Amino acid sequence: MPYKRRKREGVIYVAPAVVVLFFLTIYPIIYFIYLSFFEIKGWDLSKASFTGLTNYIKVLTDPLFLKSLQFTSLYTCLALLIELPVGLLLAFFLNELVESKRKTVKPFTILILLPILLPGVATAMMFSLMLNDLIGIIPHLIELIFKVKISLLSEAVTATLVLIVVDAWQWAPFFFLLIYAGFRMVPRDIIDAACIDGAGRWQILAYISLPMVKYMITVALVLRGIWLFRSFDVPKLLTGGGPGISTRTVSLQIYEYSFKEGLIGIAAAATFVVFILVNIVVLIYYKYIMTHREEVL
Amino acid sequence: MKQKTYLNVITIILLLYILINVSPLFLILINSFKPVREITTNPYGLPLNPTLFNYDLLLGWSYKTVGISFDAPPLLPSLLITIKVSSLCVVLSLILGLMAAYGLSRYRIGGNFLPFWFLSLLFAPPIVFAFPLYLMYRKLGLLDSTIGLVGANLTFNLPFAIWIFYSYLSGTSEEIEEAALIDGANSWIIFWKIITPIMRPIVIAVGALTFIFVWNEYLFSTILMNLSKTLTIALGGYNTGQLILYTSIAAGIIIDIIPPILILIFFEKYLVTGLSFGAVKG
Repeated sequence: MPYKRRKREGVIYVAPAVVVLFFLTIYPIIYFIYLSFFEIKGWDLSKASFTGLTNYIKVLTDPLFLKSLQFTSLYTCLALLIELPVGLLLAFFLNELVESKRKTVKPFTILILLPILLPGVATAMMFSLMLNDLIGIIPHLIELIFKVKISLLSEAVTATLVLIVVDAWQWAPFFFLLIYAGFRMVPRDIIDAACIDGAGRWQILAYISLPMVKYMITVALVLRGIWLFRSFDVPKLLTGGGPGISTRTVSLQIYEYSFKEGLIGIAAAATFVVFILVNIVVLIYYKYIMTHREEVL
Repeated sequence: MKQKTYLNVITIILLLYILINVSPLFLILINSFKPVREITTNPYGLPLNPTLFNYDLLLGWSYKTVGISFDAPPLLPSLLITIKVSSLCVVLSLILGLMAAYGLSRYRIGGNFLPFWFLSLLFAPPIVFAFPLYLMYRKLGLLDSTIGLVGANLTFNLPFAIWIFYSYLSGTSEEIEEAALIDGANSWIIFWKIITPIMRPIVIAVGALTFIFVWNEYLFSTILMNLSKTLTIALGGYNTGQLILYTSIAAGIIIDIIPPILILIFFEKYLVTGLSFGAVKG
């Protein structure tokens, strides 16, 4: 193995990336963890005084922080609950069309995937315009169909629903993308054999295709779950965390702590708590993909 | 159900879904061509007097006044900053990422630990890095600088590039390279003449995705850029409640989404492999 004998040479290739990422991530995070043990008023770091674990106790007992964790978890679960079945159905339908050799399906993929690549800001602004109380099309349609006039963003429940629907509009295609890729990898002869044995298309889906895309579904759920958990731009621009604090995500809460209230020590403690939570999920996920990815690909 | 009706039904369902996907964009597009005051009388229809006024307003260099007291900040300076930051980030992620992936997969530098570190960076919420970086940049005078924002974006995009390249390289054979090494070729030549060419499709995919990710980025820009705003910040700063700005915001949204859409159309094949490969492998 000539490569193994020249390990020193390999370090040159890895070093630049490691150095860059060290200064951009490890160093600032350690500094921030250090700050989480101090009480800091405003942004003046020279007036910091050591307080031990007080910031952590404050964060973990702060109803605002706990409420934001609770909202973020609820928002994440509900959004995934919509996105997974929608993406799965889209993938199944498009796969059926492709298998039947219809020619018109090529632009379908692009048009289904379109929202994924749009900036979150553009999506938020777009829905913000469409939700305008006076001339937005969504309140207008609701009035036409249900004969009621409501302002969707001024009620906690409807504001939450709006965020979930907007997220599903943008991200259900991500589930489609992965599951569709999975369906395309199911060997044709297995399906043909099942057909000859008299299996219907729903039986094939339930007993052959679905088990084979189980890995893809897990991957999509974990990735989207982590991304949803860090939601910042769409909630900030669409609801601003409101009405009140009802749609404030964890990221928005940390932003409030630091920029709005100047509680740097508390923000640092909250950041570290979130960092640990995410890393626990990543560790489990890393173990999972490392043991499973070889058997699928 | 007969096969033919079945296929027609699912085609119709897919077309309906596509309609839901595309109609908000279409509504915003037609509204962006309306004169400022037409929006209150004709909010949903095609423009009666189509105009490019909104685009002219946003892409001019200086402030212009829409109504008596409403200003629309120009987007052109922001557009240039965003293009600069995105392109720099693409170049750096690709070069550093390819090199690191080569070292990780061939020389096994860092064993299991380094790949895990990169994966955990990839998943860390950006808010985790945003404030530490803010404090560090404030000391170094890097707030409001292009290079500072590029650095912040690298915290996600560099691990992303490394992870995908690493997974891709791990699945390819080392035989040719080992033969070349034994023949006395230097690893730098192998890197450029053998590794880089076989990675071409995945390099294009990661490059295109990185451009889009940085283009769409919001959190770092909000926190690190106060004076020189990126496109997303400038756009996010408009007040959607003011009807007089409605058409200008619509034009701003269209300007903001054109690059990602163009990339999707031109690089569709690469993006689909890149996205699904990246996700599935990592």
